[in-house]
Amino acid sequence: MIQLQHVSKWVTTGNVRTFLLKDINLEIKQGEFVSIMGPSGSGKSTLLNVIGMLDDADEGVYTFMEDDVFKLKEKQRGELHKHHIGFVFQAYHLIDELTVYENIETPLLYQSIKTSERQAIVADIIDRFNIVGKKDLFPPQLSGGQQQLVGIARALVAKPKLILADEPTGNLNSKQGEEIMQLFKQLNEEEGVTIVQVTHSEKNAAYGTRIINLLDGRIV
Amino acid sequence: MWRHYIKTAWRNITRNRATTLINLFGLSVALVAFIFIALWVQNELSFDSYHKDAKDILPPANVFLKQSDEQPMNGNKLLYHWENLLNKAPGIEDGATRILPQNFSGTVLNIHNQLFAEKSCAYVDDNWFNMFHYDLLYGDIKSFYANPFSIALTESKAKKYFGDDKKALGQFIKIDSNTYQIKAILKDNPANSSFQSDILIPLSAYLSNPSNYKNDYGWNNFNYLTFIKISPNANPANIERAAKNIFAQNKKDSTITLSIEPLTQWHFDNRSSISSMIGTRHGNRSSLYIFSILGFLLLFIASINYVNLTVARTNARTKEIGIRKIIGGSRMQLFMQFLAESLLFCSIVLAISFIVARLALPIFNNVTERQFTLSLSSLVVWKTLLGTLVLLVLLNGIYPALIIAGFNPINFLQGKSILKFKNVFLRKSLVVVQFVIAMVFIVGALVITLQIRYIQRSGTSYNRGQVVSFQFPFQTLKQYNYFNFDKDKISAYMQVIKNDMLKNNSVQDVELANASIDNINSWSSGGWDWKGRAKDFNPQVARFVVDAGTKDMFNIQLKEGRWFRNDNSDKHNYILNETAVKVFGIKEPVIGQYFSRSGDTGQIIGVTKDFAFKSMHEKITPMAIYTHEIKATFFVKIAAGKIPEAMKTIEATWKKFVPDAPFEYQFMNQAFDNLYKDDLTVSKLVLLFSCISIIISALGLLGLAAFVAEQRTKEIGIRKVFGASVRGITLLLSKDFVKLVIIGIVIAMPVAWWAANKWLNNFAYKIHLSWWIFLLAGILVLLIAFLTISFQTIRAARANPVKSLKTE
Repeated sequence: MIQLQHVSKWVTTGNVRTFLLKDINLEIKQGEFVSIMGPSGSGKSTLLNVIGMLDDADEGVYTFMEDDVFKLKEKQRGELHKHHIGFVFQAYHLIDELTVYENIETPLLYQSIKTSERQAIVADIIDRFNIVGKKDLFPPQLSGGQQQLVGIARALVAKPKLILADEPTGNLNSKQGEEIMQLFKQLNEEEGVTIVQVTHSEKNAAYGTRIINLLDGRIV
Repeated sequence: MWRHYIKTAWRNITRNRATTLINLFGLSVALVAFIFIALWVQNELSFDSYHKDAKDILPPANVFLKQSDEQPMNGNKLLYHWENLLNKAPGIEDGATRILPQNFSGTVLNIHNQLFAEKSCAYVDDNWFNMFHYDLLYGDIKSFYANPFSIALTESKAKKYFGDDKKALGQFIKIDSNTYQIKAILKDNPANSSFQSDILIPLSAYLSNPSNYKNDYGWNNFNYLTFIKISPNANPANIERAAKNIFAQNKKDSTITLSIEPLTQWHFDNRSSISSMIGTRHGNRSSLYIFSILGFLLLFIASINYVNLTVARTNARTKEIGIRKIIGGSRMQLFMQFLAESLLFCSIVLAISFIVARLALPIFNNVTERQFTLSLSSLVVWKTLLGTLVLLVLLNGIYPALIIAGFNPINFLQGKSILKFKNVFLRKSLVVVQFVIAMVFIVGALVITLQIRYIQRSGTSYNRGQVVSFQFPFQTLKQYNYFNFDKDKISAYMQVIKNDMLKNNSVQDVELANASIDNINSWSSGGWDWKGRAKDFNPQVARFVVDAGTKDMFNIQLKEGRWFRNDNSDKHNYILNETAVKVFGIKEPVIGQYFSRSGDTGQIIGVTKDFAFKSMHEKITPMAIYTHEIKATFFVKIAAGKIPEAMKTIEATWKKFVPDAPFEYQFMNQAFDNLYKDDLTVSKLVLLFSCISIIISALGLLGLAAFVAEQRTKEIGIRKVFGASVRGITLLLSKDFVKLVIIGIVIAMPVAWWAANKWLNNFAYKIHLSWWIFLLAGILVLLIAFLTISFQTIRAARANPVKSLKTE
């Protein structure tokens, strides 16, 4: 599904080139649950953003489901990203001006899915995540765990093949964190969703099927 | 999708109350002004165009004395004999029509034995209603013409005199000794009509009086207005030439010329004073343009606020925008969302402005003296509103939406905000533009105020609020057959009236003159003579016929010589003004020299200092003051605090001597303001606009200062931790803004100077544009700007640094 070949990314300050990612070679197959680990500044989030097509690399080839991502036009890349990738963040990143229901609904709006179908999908996922009672609340009215649940529901609503999660439990207490990780595991095993997560915690990494360790932008 | 856009937009609008209020207020105020200006401009440009084939109707509007183009005659009589023209110049399709307005003297209506002075009566000939469009409400035009003693009147006059427009039909009105029946009720004259006569009577009724007929059917009467209608393919130049020839042949004794132009352009031809005959004013193209520009400028500076604050606000919305992009929102979708937000906001602004404009319409009508309507059933109103909405959205929505749509979400994830350096430059420029405009407005307001004050002090100085004037009607004088034009007899009669008023101690003084000292519009050329006059030198001389007591009442200052004695000894003597002495070239010693008017010979006994006896738009011209001539305008000086009592006395006198006409009077301060009505209106509007523009600019600055303070919270926190004082930080934050305002002021100076000069050129007598006006305006702008900014900066500077650093 995902294939990175000799991918590098750097910033230049003066004459000094600092590598954020250096010569990354990585393959992730459909249905995998990969955890990326490493100390702060090792390039975990950058790698995740490159995979999520939010960021470019300076060198190398990135193939996503047979498309050469770096060579696509912005619009085509947008389409790929919109239909196949869902994001989950440490800080949840819900839109505060929208209710729970509307937050979950928004990705479908951007895909121009018809109202009736959209309502069915959203109702279904709200039901499944057990947040029916919260659907008309605004994000700041929810606890961290609940917000992250909404964040995951939003990432899943458009039925993506790939979920990218940047420290999804980083802001949660251990019990909430465990619940979220259970949910990821379940999604991966029962629905075959490919998951790539960035994490600091060995325990969380253990939920996955594979661990990739990064140090100074390189896979070790 | 649209529902989603609108919903989000609505939540954003309601959430950020401060920003929303600044924007709502600024835009709405500007838009109300814009709507009014648009109404006015639209109305001016559509003048008289509602008549069928309006462009083919030609009023031979201008009859000029060749000697001086500055003195147009009132109306013309030429095409009274339009049949002559028909043979000479083919193409006059539906012939001609005439109107004989009665505005000048007014008409006294007797309705159920109550008297009303009506200034908007006119006689119209048989072709009038064929040529001009009127909406008939009740009755019919045919029966109006069937009997000469008929009346057609507008609904508002019908309501005024009979309480109900429908019931007025068939009622009777007595004018002089004739009784007229109301045969038609017309819809009120539209605001964009040059014809504002409310009461129309068939011309045949007027001409049925043999003496009227004899007097009018010649070439010496200029009281009629004639309109001809030409066929679309006729050449107006031919007709004009033919008309000129006919006139030259028939009126050999004069040097009058004539020109014709389409009715639709008549409104803007302010060379002639015909307008005063039919109750409307001529338009002024340059003020039309100026106010259009002002309207757009106001809208523009209010839009700058919106753009600046919206772009500033997007920083706070970086998160929302970033997330929307990450979860699949495309560039186009985000662009549309923010455009929808502008659209919603502008629609709200438009709705509020429309309501406010509706409520304020009577005030606007009052200031402009027009009858505008703002009804949602009018197509024009909808066109204007929709046009404005599109303009607003274009001005306000596009730029922020573009910035937002182009945002790369990775910046959000990396903690960067949307605004980059280049945007800051643009926003700074916009603030500068705002203050340029505000500065120009303020200089404008100052200059206009000073000029108006200068005007008010430049006539003779007397307490205008304590002097009331009224005119003894010529109709009444006529009854006495003008005492055979015996000046002494008339004068004696007037003295009796004078004494009757003076009996009451609330009346301090009563004087007679031929005209008000503030507006002497009686003049003549020829017949004047003095020592050393060249044979062919016949300048125009203003005539001021006075009583001996006039000097004290109006506080006339003498330069040399003496004033008239209060007996008959100065019967043939004259007083001139300084300009007259200069223009006539009278050599020293002036006093005692020979002076003559149409053979009435005496000497010059005094010279007055020059004072403005006409509007200050016109130069002071030579004036001769004398006593021995018919004068019928009374000036009554009222004792302080006794106005009600005095008015009762005056009215009682009036009733005694003039029982058959209603009492009409005017205080001199009202009359004076009337003289400068247009200038006063302009000054009020510019003052209002400059207040609006400075408020809007200040609000924009306030919003921007708040935004910058918020953006620099961290910096302020760190500086405070390292020991910066509140004062130091306030200065630091204010410095940038003050710089912008100063740049704006500097740029505005030459623009303001140019505009002020241009306006002052309308006056023959004007203030000097001194540097301190600009300095004062600059200081004022700077002060307002500084106060506005400090409000925000001091607050930011005093904030607790621990808090701000923690939230970072």
